[in-house]
Amino acid sequence: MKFSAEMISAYADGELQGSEKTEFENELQNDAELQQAVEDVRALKLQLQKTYQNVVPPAKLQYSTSNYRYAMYAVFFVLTFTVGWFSGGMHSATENLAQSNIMNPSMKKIVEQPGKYILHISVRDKAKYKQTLDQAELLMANYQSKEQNIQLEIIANAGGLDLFREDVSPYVQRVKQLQDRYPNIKFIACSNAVARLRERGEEANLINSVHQGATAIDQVVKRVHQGWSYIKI
Amino acid sequence: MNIFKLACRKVALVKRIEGSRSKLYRMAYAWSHDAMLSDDLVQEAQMLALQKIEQLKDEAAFDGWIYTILNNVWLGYLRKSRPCEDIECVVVVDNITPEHEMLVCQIDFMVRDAVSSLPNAQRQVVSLIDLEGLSYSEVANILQVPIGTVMSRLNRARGALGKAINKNRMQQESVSRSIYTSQERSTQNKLRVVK
Repeated sequence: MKFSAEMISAYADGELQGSEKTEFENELQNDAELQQAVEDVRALKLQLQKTYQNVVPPAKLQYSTSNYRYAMYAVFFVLTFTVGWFSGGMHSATENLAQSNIMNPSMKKIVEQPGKYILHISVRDKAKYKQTLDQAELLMANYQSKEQNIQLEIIANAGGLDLFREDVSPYVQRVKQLQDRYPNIKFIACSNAVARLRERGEEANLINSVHQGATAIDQVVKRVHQGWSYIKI
Repeated sequence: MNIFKLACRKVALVKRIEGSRSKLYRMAYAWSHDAMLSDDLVQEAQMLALQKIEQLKDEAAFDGWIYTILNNVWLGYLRKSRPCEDIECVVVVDNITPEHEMLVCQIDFMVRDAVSSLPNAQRQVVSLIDLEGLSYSEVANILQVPIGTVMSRLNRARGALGKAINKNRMQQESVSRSIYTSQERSTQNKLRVVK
């Protein structure tokens, strides 16, 4: 090998120019030992890069220079004020709550009901819609194959409401088929979500079989208290 | 209009200095192998860069400029810290524990170990060239040494790293071989017991 280690390094780093480079490359073609030496340098370079690529600085507190910071101060101030204002009446409120069952759930024991499910979808996401319907189908098929009774409610609110809207849902046909095939599935649209759409001047235009009843949160709480199993998609 | 242009340039440069934290940190870590110290060095370098922002005339030379500042901060630290030695670094009896050996066996630790045991001048050259991909002349400018020195340091560093990594690999192989043979032996023993 007629090249020095420094030349080999320089070639691997792309530092050789013109005639030096040509001469090196000519030699490189015929010299296996030289090829190996260049490969070794390149491998070492790669190894070093790989070793240090995961070194990242510790997270730093970001100083926000925009008005956002002042907005946060304002929110904080308002919150502190509100909490202070209402804390006067809190004492008696806590007493009232303690007397009711809400503060002490153990007083009313929830008995789990087999075969009763509530599925809840609240995001606008086609994959989640599909997952909801798949899950429903799976549950129904599973229970029917065992000839057991099942009751299923699918409740949609916020972005999830679109699943039940005739004009925007990607799965109108599937929802209708599910309803035809399994009468014991109940589709429920959250009344709040529908009202919110209406405020924006849009009509929900729900699929025929969809019920519009309570708000999603009320319905879920009610069913969970009755011992239904709650599945959030 | 000129003033507006200057202001825009300054804002862009400030953003660029702030955005270079990760790569400065990586370099500082490769030089010091100390996470906390690296963070301090980078912070100081960024602060100096912001103060001396007017010095940078040519934006294309940004990388060279900011690494020069980092290098000055690092050398300043080395100069200051020379007289005292961290008590934790002093080997009292032998600090090679089984845990340490296992860590070194893992390739990343092994390479970092090898890099950290290089002399500082070689470590700086090899990390600037291999991690950041800077050219020899840029590195020569940053470290204020002739190109020939950069080349010879780089060469020595690579030689030492190659040797250390190979040695470690061989040790690792011999360890795994000895584990294998001891396993074999233990199964033979078991067989004998069963008989």
